[in-house]
Amino acid sequence: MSSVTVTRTATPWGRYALSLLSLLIVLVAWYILTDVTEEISSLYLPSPTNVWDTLVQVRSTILDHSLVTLKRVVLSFALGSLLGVAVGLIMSRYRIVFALLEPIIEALRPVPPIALIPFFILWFGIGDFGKLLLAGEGCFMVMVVSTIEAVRNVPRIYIQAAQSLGARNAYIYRTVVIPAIIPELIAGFRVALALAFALMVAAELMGAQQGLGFMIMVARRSLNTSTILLGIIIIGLQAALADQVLRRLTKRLTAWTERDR
Amino acid sequence: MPTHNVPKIVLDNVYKVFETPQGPVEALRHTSLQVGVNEIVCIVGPSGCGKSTILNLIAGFITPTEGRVLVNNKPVVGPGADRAVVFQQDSVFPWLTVEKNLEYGPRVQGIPAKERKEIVAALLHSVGLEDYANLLPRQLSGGMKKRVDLARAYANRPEILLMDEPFGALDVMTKEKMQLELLRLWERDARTIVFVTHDIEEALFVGHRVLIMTARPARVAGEIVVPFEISLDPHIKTSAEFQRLRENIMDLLLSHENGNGATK
Repeated sequence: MSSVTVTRTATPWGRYALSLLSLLIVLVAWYILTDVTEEISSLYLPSPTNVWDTLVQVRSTILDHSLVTLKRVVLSFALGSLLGVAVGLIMSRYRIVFALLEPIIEALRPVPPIALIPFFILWFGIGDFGKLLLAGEGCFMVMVVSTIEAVRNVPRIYIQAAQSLGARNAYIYRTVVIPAIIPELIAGFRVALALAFALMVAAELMGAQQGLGFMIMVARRSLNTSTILLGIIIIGLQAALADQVLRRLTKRLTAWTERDR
Repeated sequence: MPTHNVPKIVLDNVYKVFETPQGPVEALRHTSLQVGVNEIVCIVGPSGCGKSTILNLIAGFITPTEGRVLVNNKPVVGPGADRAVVFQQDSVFPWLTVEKNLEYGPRVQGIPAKERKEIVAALLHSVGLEDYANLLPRQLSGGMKKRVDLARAYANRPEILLMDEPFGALDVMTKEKMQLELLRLWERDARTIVFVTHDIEEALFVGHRVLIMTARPARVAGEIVVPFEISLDPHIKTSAEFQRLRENIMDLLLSHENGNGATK
């Protein structure tokens, strides 16, 4: 995969420092606008110290809520996206399956999963199952489409080379198609993971008994904006962390690509 | 030595039309040719003349619209391990190391691990890639990747090697080295080779016989039996006879280009 090379003037440490600096600027601006000058009222935007105080107060319950959300996200992402890859592979391999499933998937795909929440609550209640199904469905759709596209993008020449070395379909799938699509799949996984967080929090907002979305919903009723903001920050941190873990785990799988990391 | 009178590959009155969105395109018009056992036949012609179509037909990637394509007297029904292909573009698997690339064919054939290692080691040695066995293709130069490609085809011990402008993307020096590499491999372990190129010198240097094709729709316009033995000495290219043959082929190609110009 060729890539546009970004001109690099800074060393890796220099770039790291720059990233920290830009974060720091946002934090300082937030601090100045709220705590120092009190330009923005704490109801509209709680200050860093408000948020910190809230964190200290509710630290044990917030940990519980975070873990519940994280667990649901990981589970729905893992099941939904792996099933998506499997179905995508089967659809690319067998034209009959493709013809059968494609219309259903194409009809469901443009529907924002969030629009399904009312039905899911009606059918499955506000327990875990409906939420896992919702976020899982989102991941599934992303991965089915990424997988089918990735298989289409496999250079024909690799398939022909394998054929002329005597390999047959199933073997070619295992030894050529799957390794060749992995970099594209990983890009899809990252999109799906972020989507899983978004959908899970949305599902929790609409009806739940636990989780960060639930916590935000409860705080909203009492206009407890610093808890809301704390919840948002934790979701952001979790999602960023999960993305990093995913990238670390898959780094070895893409070592063969020509892009520089 | 090649036995020209035993045909390994036969194209019998082959006609090939491609259906495209712009309408049918004639790629090959009633082409017949034969390639003997262990013979190296080069096919030259203007680019886009359907040279590659001939290779793809023999490889079994496509089927003829009319006529027959026979290998060992049997019609070609699809790609197979008896016919390895070396493409112009890079077809080395980038996710496998050099060694694993060479091992791919023998592994498909179900050759036991120990024997596989021997085949691979011998080939790595003969193409000078021993020190690169555990590298990934992205760590290699274009010329080295081509070596891997050629060695991978040879590792599979095909009866036939189909080469589609294999060295077309290489610089002149590397190209010359690769031609010698190919001939060295062939001298040690002869195979039937069909070698498509647009480089007349390359065709004369590598082949026992050179077929000259006309522009699309392609036909075989002429044939030159190269009068000298396969030689590993590139100086042969500067000899008077070599240059004379080169000019003959050039004239033949040019005359057909003019002849066809009117009918376009």
